[in-house]
Amino acid sequence: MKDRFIPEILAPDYIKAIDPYIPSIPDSELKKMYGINKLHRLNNNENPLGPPSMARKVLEDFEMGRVSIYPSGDSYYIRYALAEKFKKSPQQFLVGNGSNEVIACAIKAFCQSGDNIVTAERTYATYEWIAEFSGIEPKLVPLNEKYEYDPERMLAAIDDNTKIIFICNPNNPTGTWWSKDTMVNFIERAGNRIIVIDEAYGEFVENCDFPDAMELMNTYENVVCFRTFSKMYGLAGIRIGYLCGSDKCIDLLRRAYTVYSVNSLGQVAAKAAIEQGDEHIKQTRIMVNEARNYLRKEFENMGIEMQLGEGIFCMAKMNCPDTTMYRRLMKHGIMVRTMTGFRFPNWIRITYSTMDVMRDFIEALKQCI
Amino acid sequence: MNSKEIQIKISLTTKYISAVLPVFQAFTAEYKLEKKAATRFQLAAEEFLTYLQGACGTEQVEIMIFENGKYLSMRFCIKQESIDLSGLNLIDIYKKSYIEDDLESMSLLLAGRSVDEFNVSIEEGQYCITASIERTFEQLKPYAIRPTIKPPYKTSQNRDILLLSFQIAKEIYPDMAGNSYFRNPYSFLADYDKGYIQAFCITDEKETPAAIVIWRVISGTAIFKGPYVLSQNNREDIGGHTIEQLIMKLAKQNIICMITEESLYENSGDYFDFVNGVHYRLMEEDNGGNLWVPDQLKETIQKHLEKMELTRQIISAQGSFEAERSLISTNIVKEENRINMTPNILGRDFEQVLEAHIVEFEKRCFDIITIELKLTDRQQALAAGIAGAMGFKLWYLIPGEGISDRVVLRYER
Repeated sequence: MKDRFIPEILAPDYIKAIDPYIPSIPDSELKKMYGINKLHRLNNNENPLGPPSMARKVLEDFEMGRVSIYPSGDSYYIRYALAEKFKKSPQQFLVGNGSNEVIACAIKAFCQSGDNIVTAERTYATYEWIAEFSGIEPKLVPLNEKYEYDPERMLAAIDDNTKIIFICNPNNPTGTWWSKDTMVNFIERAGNRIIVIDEAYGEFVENCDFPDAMELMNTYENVVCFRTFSKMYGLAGIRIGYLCGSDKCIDLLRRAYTVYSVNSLGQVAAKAAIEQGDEHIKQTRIMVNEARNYLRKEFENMGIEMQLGEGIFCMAKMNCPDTTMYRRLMKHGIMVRTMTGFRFPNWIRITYSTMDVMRDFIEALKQCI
Repeated sequence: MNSKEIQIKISLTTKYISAVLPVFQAFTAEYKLEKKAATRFQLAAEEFLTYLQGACGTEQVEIMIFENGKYLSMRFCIKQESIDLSGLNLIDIYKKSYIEDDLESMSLLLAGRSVDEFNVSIEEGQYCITASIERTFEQLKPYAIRPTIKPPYKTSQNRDILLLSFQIAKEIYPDMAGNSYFRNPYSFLADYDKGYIQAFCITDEKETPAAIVIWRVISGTAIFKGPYVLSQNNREDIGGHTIEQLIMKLAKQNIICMITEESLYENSGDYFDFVNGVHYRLMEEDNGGNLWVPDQLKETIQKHLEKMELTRQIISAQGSFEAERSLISTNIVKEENRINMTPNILGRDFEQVLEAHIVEFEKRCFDIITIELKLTDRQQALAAGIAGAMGFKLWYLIPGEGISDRVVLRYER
């Protein structure tokens, strides 16, 4: 009699303990399920203005013949474009299939069994998630009462086994951020660890006191910066992000790097986005500021507790479970992100968008509360 | 020999049954079970083994006697092919008649009369009966002091603080005296140490307990009780804070839904929805799914889904059961005077089997009789229709992302 195959006994315990990420089902299926004709996606922090014009053009002009040929294995032209933009060496950049891939690369390169990473308890979940499925302990530090990363508590959490500290700046989902002074002070006290500064939403910040990780790494060799083309540059569907660090750091990171993971479309679009200049960033910031000011006023009128920080999103606290409000808003064609999974029960996160969409959102919210 | 567990395999002959019964006695002595409880444990062992002998002849049975948190338990496992599965229903409708004092003809329900908890399950090709008696624990002195608590609050899973919390809670919540954790807090620690129950306290900075909440996770659902607020001040604030901390703790643990059948003590804010006397909250976005629903319950379930604001496509459950005979898994919790049923196998005799069970349960005056069925399974949905026609009413629905949604039906006389 054939033995029963039990895959569970093959998987490590730390894999079995993980909550598998289940992405949302396609929009067409959601519309059918909820009986709606239109759906405003305000859940994933996508830029409603889409990609910059030059990136659009190269995507439209992409030669079909190229799809049967392997792309550059290490995103050669993007690295050179980034190097020119940020006045660094191309060897200081690694480009990945979304920033999730480069985060995984960092953990794989520097951490082994018994090590830990330190980050905030209520931040971008991927650091914790990737650490866990790599068998590395994530040490999670509560935010302070202003929903900011707490530098003193982060420092207190560091121990001899800490290899990487992840700082999401500005933080997803609270939009709070560390100033230059706070960041420098932290780096100088953190010791010989890799400090990953995730600036996925950095391009949205206009405050001159916001630190630039690209500059910080010139002084602090242990600083690594993550950025993405998914948010400001509207290329979420192409899946492309990058990290930058000192030559020494990147040399080690490259050993855990998956070559050929970035497709040709992504490479041409990202290169065009880098070379375009800042007009797209300016337009996006105008849209974000307009939406933020509008929502602030509306939330105030409705007596809703809000958290309006930097980035292309904000948070609002509901008087019912966030997961219930999600379902109610879906029936009105509005998709928000529930925040229970971010350890913010009853809060929802809303992506800023154009004013017509923001008005639709508020109209729906008024009917749902 | 590991004194926390004994494993024996015997043939179900009178000779071997007699030889093994003293082992049960020795186990109760090692755990210093008080006399009445020890007698019940030994009687239960004899009755189960005799019952199985009657049902299986001289087949082999694997016996395990073990420490099981707050219980001492016995488990009897037999190969599926060794027994007519209807013999593992609490009531075997194929047995001619029952004589109360005749051990050989009694029902499995009767065999389980001496124990505090009892269930039948299928595990890796074996049928297993697990029966448990509550252990004897040292009695704690009452702790009638109500703390005064100021923020900032901390959470603690320190065993001593958890124990102290129950000592205090025992005095504040006299209506929970029926619950073993309140009656004897060491029983809580026994289950907690085994991982059967999870808990934490909210304390002040000096670790004075302010509230406690307990929960267990079954099939992606966190069933919780509390918070039991201990402080005499800031009660609403502490209650809300406790619930918020619980939700944050469960946030990344594969939990689909949090649920409690109890009233929520103190202020739990707006963190839960409330339908049909049950507080619940989904932990993730739910984007609908398909449910099989029997025609008899269509309107009831549709209304319930609307109240829960859940989007589901309803498919009419038609057809019949594929198997010939049914096996219903039952879990009896004497402390709550409650029986929970779930079907293991749904056969064409399900209606008769369920009816026979209800007749016996009514005779024995159980307060709560439930059956839990998956509406993402066509046959279980059919069973829900049959149960509905027999007097079971929809109590609540446990969302399972449209993949494993279950209904709990409760019998109403």
